[in-house]
This record gives sequence, structure tokens and C-alpha cells, in this order.
Amino acid sequence: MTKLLQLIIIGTALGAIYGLLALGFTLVYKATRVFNFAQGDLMMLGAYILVSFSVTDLQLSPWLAIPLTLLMSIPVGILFQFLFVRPLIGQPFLPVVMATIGAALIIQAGIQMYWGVIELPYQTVFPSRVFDVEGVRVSSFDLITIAVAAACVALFALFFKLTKIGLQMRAAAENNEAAILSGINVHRVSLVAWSIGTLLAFVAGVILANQQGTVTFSLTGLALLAFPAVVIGGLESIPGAVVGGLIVGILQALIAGYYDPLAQDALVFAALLLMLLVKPTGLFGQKEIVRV
Amino acid sequence: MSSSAFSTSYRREFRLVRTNAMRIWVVLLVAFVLYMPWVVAQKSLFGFELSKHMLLNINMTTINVALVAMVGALGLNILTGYTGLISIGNAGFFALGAIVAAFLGGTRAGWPNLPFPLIVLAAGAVGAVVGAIIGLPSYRIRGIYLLLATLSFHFIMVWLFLEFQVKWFGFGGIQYITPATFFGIDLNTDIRWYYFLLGCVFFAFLLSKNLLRTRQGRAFVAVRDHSIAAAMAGIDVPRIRVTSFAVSSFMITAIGAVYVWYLGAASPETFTLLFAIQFIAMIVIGGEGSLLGSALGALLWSLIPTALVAFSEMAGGVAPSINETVLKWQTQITNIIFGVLIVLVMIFNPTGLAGIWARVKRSITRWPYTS
Repeated sequence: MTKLLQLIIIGTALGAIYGLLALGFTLVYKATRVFNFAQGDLMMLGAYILVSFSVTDLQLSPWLAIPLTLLMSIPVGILFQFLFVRPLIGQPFLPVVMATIGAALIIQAGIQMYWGVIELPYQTVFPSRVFDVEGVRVSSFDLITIAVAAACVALFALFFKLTKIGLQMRAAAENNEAAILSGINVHRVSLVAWSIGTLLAFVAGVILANQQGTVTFSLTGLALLAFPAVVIGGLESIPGAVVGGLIVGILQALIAGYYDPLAQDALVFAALLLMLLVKPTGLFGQKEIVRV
Repeated sequence: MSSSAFSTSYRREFRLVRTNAMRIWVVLLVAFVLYMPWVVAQKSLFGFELSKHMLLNINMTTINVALVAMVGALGLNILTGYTGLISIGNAGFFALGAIVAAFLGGTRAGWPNLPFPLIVLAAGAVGAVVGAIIGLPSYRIRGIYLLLATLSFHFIMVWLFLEFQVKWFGFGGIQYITPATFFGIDLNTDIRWYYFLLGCVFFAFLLSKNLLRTRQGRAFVAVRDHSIAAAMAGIDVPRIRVTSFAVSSFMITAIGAVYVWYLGAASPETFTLLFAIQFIAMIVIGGEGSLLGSALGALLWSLIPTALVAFSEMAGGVAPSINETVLKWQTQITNIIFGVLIVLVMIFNPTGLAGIWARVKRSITRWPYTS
């Protein structure tokens, strides 16, 4: 029982990160219909920019470096949208995915060339105390991760519900043409969506850098697990993205704890395959109706 | 002017090579590919000396890998270019081919040691079955999800490979020690492999070309262009998608078995996601929905790294730092070139290199009447 609880806590902390990534992905997909294959690479870029600010290039205090990194996500997201997404507006699904795959190649190679292929150290400033609750070890860092993720989700939900641009985003997601006709600037909506999507990726990257203590190139492999999270939750569902992330994280921790750590990725993807076969719309997804 | 667009009989309509002009091109192409190994080996073209740099640093290995890539790209193009589904599982299918080849090639005691051509076909058959299973989600929903299904396949396959080789072959990876024999000829030199792989490319090309001329093949294109309209015309859309996936996986898995045999060894690190993405890059840059495009894309993929080194060595005389940088970051620069090319092709020229070639050809053959 202790082991199970322990694994669930580890999995929740991990799942919170997947949830953040999946949230960014879903948001972009909902607002612009772009399947962003490069979401994980944007996350990695965020982690590397943080290291650049605080360790390798500028040596700022982490309390300054972290907000600066998060601020950087807005120009990065806008640049990404301008270079890879805007020229392909109105194109079918396939060319746009291809363009984001191209973007992923460019970002990955660019990171390797600028920061090198060796792993970079990063010293976390967050307290890393470990509490012992009746045999279950809870690290303060896991709690911070979960809190940050929860705060992001709450802020994001409020933003979506209460602000004008949030309303416009919902409208554009619902029916793009009707949104244009009612005077919504969908280009601006798209820019905002990409900025927020990138911001969420950067938040995940910053958390990961703090959690792992190093920034390496293998982070992008971890980020791919956001895809099962997205599908399990339902491709277009915002709560689904978070729930999917948690499910994937906990599943991974359980597999690693009870079966074989090497198998965790493969079995999570096997779960994804099963989900696709049984209920492709995910837990919270809506059935899609196609009109000709 | 040729009247290639008009056939005067059904027999002519069914021919692969339909005009005299095409006949000349085919003869020239065959002569060129047969002569190619001598050009590379002796570094001369009809007696003219060519420098290493003029040949873009290529050697027989580069060319052979390019031929393998061509078959893979042809296979993927059937799925992506002609049926409009995107798969990122190519590395997984290559790995599957490697595993089947290891089992049937006498590497493991207690398993049959089949002749090499049979192994390749068996790998293809296993690949087709697995491909059809992975393609099953397309019965339920649209193409986006197939991308994710193939992504999961990739990870499952690589993990199986890892488990499998540790349990049965040790950590060092699988060694394919039995020499590949093709109807009595040992494939033990690069030149022999070249001719064998040339045969593979020819076979894959013929298979694709003929498949796409049948009712089934035209159904692929109909599903790609408008799946709902295709369904209205009586095409069983999910079945076509699964069939296309099976055919594509057949070719990719079979060439995967050939590839690991050519390399002589295989380990899970060979089959990365990047490897799979590079195949997508090949067909996108070469031209989706074009057999010529697959070949051009694969050729470009194998030529860019060596050409990069050749150019940097030439530039190294002027500015040594360029040479150093390029050598250090060869893979990365290649990937950036690929990424940029994908995005540019998608934005400005969705038909890729094959589309450019078609336009050039058109403006020459129809000369005064083109814009």
C-alpha cells in the first residue's frame, strides 16, 4: 500500500508536467487546428534558455532567470507562428503537420549546435525537503510541480472564461468562419494561442530543468509522452489534457515500480494504441461529425 | 512533338514505356546506373578524371544506402503521398524487419535458416500483417490518429527490440553473420550489393507503379483527395486505408531486413525517431504522390551529408573554420537543411522536386506555348 501511494505521488508529479505540455498542445489545436509536433521541442528550448540565462551565458539569479525565460516564450511562440504556421493557413492537415515536423528538426539541430550535445548542469533554487508521511516520501519539489501545474490550469480556465480574447478563442475554435464574420481577428487569436501554447511548454521545461538538475537532449523523448496524454484525454478537451497527463504519469510510475522501468514508455504507448482502437475520441472527446 | 497524352490502342495504353522519347530516357538511365560503380571506383567518367570533390565525396556505401532509402521512400509514398495518411513508424518497421531477419537467418539456434530472398519476403509479409493491425484505428476515425498509432508502434517496437536482443543475443546487438546469398551469388562486396539493391529498387518501383494503375491503386488516390466523395463512389475507405498501410509496411519491412543484412549488425540505437522523420523529409522534399519524387528525395537525403563535407573541404582552403564547423556538426546541419527544405516545400511548392522537374519538362517539350 505504501509503495502504491508512493508511486501514485511520483506519477502525479510527472503527470503534471505531461498535463502542462498536453494543455499547450490542445489549446493550439483547438484554436488553430494545427497538430503541433514540435511542442516537445519548444519545451526543450525553454529548458535550455533557462540554463542559458542562469548558468552558461548570463549567470543571472534564478529568480530573475525563470521569469525572463517565461517571458521569452512569447516572442518564440510568435516567431514560430509566423515562420511555420501562418504561411500554411487554410491548408489541409498533412502539410501543416509536415511543417511542424520540419520545425522540430530545425529546433533540435539548432539546440545541439548552440548548446552542444553534452548535458548542462542546473542548480535548482526551490527547497528540496522530503516529508515522510507514514512511510510515504513526499518531496517538496513534487508538491511545487503539482501546485504550479494546478495554478496554470486554473489561470488558464479563468482566462478562457472571463477575458474577451478567451471568448474570441473559444469562438474561433468552435467555428472559424463564423468567428471571422462576427469581426474576430483570427490572426490575433492564433498569435495569442501560439504564445500561450509556447508559454505552457516553457513552464514545463523550466519545471523539468529544476526537477532533473540537468538539461539534456533526451528531454524531447520525455516530451513525446504528451501525445498519449492528449489522446487519452480527448484531442480537443481541456480538462481531458490534464486528466490524460495525470493518467499517463501515474501509469508510467506504476509500470516502472511494479514491472520494468525500461518498459514504461513502450507500455504507455501500447495503452495509447489500445485507446485508439477502442475509443479514439478519448475520455472527454466529442464525436466528430463531418459535413460535406 | 510527342503525342504522349494520346493512346491509339489499349495495348499502348497499358504499356509502361509509351513513347520513343521515354524509351531513350529509360535506356540512358539503365546504362547510367549500370556504369555507375565504375565511375565511383575509378573516379573517372569516360576517361575524364574526376576529383573526389566533383563526385561529392560519394562512395559505394553512400549509393547503396541511398538505394535502400529509395525503397523505403517508395513504400512510405504509397501511404502518405497516394493515400494521404502520415506514418512516423518507419524506423519501427525497419526494426521489425531486422528482428524477423534475425530469427529466420540462423542467428538463433532452433530457428530455421532460410535462404536470403525468402527471409526478405517473410519480413515483408510480417510487416504487412503488423502494418494492417496498426492501421486498424483508421476504421474508427480520421488520419490524424494514424500518426499517433504509428508513433506508439515505433516505441513499442524499439522496446521489444531492446528486450529481445538482451534476452537472446546479449547487449551487443544482433550480428548477421551468415553471408547473404542471392541465387548462388554471395553478396559480399559493395558492387554486388549495388546490383542487388538496384534490383530491389526496380522491383519496388514496378510494384508501386503497377499497383497505382489498378482499381485498388486509383482508390488510394480517391481516398486521399476526398475520402467522403470516395465513400460515396462505393469505395470502402477504411479498408483501402488498411490495405495501403499493409502494402507500404510490406515494402518498408522487407527493405529493413535487407538493410540490416547490408550493415551486418543491428541495435535499437539504429532505429531512432529521427530516422523515421528523415523518411518523411525525403518524400516531402522529393514530392508527395510521385514515384520519381521518392527516388529524388532519397538521393538528396544521402547526398546532402557527403556534399556538405565536399563543399566544406573546398571552402577549407579559404576559411578553415568553416570546414571545422561543418565536420563537427554534419548531422545537425543536414537536419537543419532538411527542416528548412520541408517548410519551404510545404509553403511554396507542395509538389516537391518532382513537381519542379515536371514543370521544367513541360516548358521544354511544349516550348513556344508555355508561359
